[in-house]
Amino acid sequence: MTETRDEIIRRSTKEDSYWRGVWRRLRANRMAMISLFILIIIILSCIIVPMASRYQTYEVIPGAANKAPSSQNILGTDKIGRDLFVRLFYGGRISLGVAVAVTAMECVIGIVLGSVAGYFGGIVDTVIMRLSEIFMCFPFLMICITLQTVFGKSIKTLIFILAVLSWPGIARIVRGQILSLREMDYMEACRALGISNRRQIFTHLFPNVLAYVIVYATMSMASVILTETSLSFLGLGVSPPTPTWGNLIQEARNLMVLQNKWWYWIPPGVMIFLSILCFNILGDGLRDAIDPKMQK
Amino acid sequence: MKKGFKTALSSLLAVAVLAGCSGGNDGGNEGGEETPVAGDQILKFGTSGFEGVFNPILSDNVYDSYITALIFDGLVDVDGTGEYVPELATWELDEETKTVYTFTLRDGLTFSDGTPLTANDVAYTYNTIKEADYAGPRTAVGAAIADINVIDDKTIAFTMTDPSPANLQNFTYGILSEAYYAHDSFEALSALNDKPMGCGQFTLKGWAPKQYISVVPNPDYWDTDNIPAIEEFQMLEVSEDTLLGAMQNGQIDFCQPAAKLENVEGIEALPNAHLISYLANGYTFMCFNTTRPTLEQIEVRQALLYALDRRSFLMNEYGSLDLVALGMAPISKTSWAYPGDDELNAYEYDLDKANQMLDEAGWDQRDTDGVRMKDGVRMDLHWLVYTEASWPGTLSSMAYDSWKQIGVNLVVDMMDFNTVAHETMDAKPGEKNFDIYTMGFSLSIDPDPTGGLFDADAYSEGGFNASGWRDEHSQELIKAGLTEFDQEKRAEIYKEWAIIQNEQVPTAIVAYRSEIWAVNNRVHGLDDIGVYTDFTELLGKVTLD
Amino acid sequence: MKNYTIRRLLQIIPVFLGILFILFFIIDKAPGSITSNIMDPRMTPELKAALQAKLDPKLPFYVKFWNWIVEALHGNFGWSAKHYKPVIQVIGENIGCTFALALAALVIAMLIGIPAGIISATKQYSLIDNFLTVFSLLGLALPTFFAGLLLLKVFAIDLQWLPIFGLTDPSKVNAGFWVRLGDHAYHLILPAIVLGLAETASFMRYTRSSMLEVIRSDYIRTARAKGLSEKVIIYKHAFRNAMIPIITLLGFRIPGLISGAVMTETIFSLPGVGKLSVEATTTRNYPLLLGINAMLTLATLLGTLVADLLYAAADPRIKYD
Repeated sequence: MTETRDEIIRRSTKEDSYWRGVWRRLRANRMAMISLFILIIIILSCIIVPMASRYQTYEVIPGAANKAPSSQNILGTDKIGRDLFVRLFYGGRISLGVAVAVTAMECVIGIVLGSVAGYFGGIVDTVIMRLSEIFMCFPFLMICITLQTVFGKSIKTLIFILAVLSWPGIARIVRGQILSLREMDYMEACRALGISNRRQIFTHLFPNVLAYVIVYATMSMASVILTETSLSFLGLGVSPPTPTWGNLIQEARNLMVLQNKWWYWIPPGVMIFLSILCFNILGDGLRDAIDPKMQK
Repeated sequence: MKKGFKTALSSLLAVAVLAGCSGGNDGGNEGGEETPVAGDQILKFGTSGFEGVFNPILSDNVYDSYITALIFDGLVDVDGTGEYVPELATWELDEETKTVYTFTLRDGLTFSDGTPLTANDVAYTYNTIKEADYAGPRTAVGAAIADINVIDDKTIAFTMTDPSPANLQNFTYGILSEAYYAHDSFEALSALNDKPMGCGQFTLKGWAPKQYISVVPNPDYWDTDNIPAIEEFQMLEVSEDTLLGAMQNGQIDFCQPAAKLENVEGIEALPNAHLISYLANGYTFMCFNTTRPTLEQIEVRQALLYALDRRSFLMNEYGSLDLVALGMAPISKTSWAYPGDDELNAYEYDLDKANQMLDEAGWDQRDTDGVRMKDGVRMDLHWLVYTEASWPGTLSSMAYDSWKQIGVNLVVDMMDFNTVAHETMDAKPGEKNFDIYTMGFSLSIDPDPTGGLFDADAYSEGGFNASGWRDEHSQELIKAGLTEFDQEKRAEIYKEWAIIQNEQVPTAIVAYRSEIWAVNNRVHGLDDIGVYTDFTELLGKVTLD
Repeated sequence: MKNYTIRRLLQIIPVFLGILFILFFIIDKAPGSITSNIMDPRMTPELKAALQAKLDPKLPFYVKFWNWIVEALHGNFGWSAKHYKPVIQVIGENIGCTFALALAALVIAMLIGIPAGIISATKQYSLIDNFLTVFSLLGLALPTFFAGLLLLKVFAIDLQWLPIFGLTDPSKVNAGFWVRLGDHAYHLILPAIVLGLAETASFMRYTRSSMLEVIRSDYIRTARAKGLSEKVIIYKHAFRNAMIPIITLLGFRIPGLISGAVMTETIFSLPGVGKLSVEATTTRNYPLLLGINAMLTLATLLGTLVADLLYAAADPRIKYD
């Protein structure tokens, strides 16, 4: 079933206008646009601030340990005298980078396995679903400790572990959607027209589940940022001296610090909160914009 | 639409204000003294981590051991200066062999169920440790004792495997009742762990796993001067994160938070409690893998120490130099064997000196990243940092920055404590996969280093020395320290030994740490808590307002 | 449907064994051992090795796996050397608290999350929608330890309305059943809210997105055209169908709740299996770790099975054969 050149051109122009429509609809959603704007600012500052700052991320400023915010150090210094402002934004690079990488990986694995399972059903479905259960039931901590030792402790290993352990969620959602879509009229029509399995999955089913995937992916961005925070709590996150938002807010894990040293936890707290909030609102906006049924 | 965003911001601000404001008013009038718990003669200790193993020969957790110390008494005890003193028994050492200790029990000793405590119970306790299926933490005690000989109801002789001035530490463990603890299997013995019966100051009233332990005074305690006046002592499971909050509200009377700046400041800010601090019997150390080409030269190890601002580290981590002392030599600063600071090199922070030493040691080439090289080897160091405590992270983060300035590339590998121990001590020689690791040790009362970090014979699979450094003179001194029973002469031997270690630094002592306690002002009689005085020794005299 | 249920129940067995097998494999590769934490210089390598042989003998992992299965079939789940107790007893001492905590958190999350999701879906883009979105995200965006400490600070330390730590007041252990139950509930209020808050966001987000989907579908439009009242449409027709993805969510929240419970249990000083499993991991107490994981695995598998069955029951379009 090869496509003719004309068909390809026709399809790509159709896709063009489809995504243009998505963008148009998204632009109309002001909450989503504000979120997008904030996210872009956060991302840009994470890129620019560490380059522009007069302090280095790992630089210990002599005699400046534990200082409250001042004109010298806008967000104060940590307990060994590193500038918290530059560390906050450098930490953002790591935290956001890990979140993007993990989400991308888990979505690819999850969508492929979920749609294959949902579409083919039968033994394929059974095997993939049982596999997903195996992955869901793994003791997270033990896996973290073991894999980090076997593969060496690094950010790459962390991304790998998080992605491999979190794909079942998205796979199950994709499968569930496909299961119900499969029974719908237009899929019957596809089958009647003799359209190939692959094309059915990727041109007809996939766009229909995309809305769910987008919602899931934004939630996942948020949850990876949080997981990283929890892992720092248990000492299994990114190794110091590399800062991450999780490592930074971890410093406030003490009632006394929480009370007396707001500059330890409010900046990373605000960053974590803002990025999670914006990812979710943007995700909702995207979802509304992508799903043609959502048009007002 | 903008309103939504404003809502987001204002809810966030609300949280910030909530926490920020509440920070300001805690110095006010909400202390425990104004709101005493009604009619309460219960002393409450907050901690986390007890397991409920109330058997002196099985508990291997400091909190369980506090409880066994209250319920059981041992043959000997340690006084406030770190000397062994009689508890249930006096002893005599056979001067000729120096291996036979003969103990004579006090008169009129009984267990809390009224049955008499005899030499047979003592023998039974130590024989249980020596049983084949004994799977507890005291097997070293069993191995140290060669033979047990009950002479009469009140007299018992122990023959030790080797003569050693440190042998008395084997006799501090609580005595079990033969009749009560009779068992046919290790499981059967273990089943009595949460139904303890001893001859101590207290008896168990009740407990719930990971929640609380409650003990009440034993009215028939042999030491009538030390029958507690308090009605009850409770050990409550309180997370480290909330200890001081519970102190502030008077829900616990005392606790031992980690000796850190935040906690010191927190205790000092409490209106209803005060701080107790003292230098502990222990040290934190950093061990160099001297079998690595990067670390085999003394000059390199010394240079790394010169390039580490330990004084700033101590200030940053502990908040005050009153709380901690700069590490010098592998002998506790609280010990009679400590040589004195004048004899030792403190390796004061000096980057120029460090640079110069590395140049002289042949590490004078630099690669494109500015990292030093010698014979094609780059100065890359992996530091294993465990995450259960905060100080290794702080120290390694400081080293990351300052060593970079002398051309040393540090990679910090975080892992859990068990993994660090596995990679360093447990691994076979040659497979010990680290350059540097850090840990903290509590020490026994005797300064003997045999089998420990500095004993070259312990460089083995499962041995405690991971540095791989060996010096025959140092080994001879360790042996000499064990055959000499005169304390002054031993101190001379350990002084010479400490100076060698301080100069060669196969393992550097980072700091001698303090321990801190927060005690509610309503509690009287706990202020003598000190390096050799557990609070368990003081409960007989404690009174509560 | 009946056949499907039986088949799925039977499939649980190989999955369960598969997980355990992989677990034994991972444990075999994991660094450290139960004796690695012993830091007593008097414990010579020989003494340490002898103790290790008693506590956790060196055997190939498949042999250990087989032995474990055989013993487990006899009701023996191993010996927790650190507690000097059978594993089953240690878990028994801790499971109740975690179970109560997770259940309470789930109820809180559903009670807040689902109605909030419906309201924000029916009032899409309104002020209340935006407010609920931000509110639910607040629970999600605050790390658990952080939310826990903040609430503790306000409600337990400053206002002194709720306890700071523990599950029991030692003075009430001899009181009657209802007093003790009330005491436990009183101690669990804050932890359940903290754990529940983190879960609320998921429920709200999924309900909202699922409801939006359903509200705009043809049959709801038909229902509207028929002139049914908005209430009937939302709560009778839309709600039922919108719940389908939520049911799936319920099924696989079990592991998430347990791992979320780790931090809640730590901060609120509660005896629970979350904290216990971290301890078992850091001390390499493998019999205990295996026991906890076997139990959690089984709970998760049954949870997902129930979710799938409910899914099938709720969506008439899905056919199982």
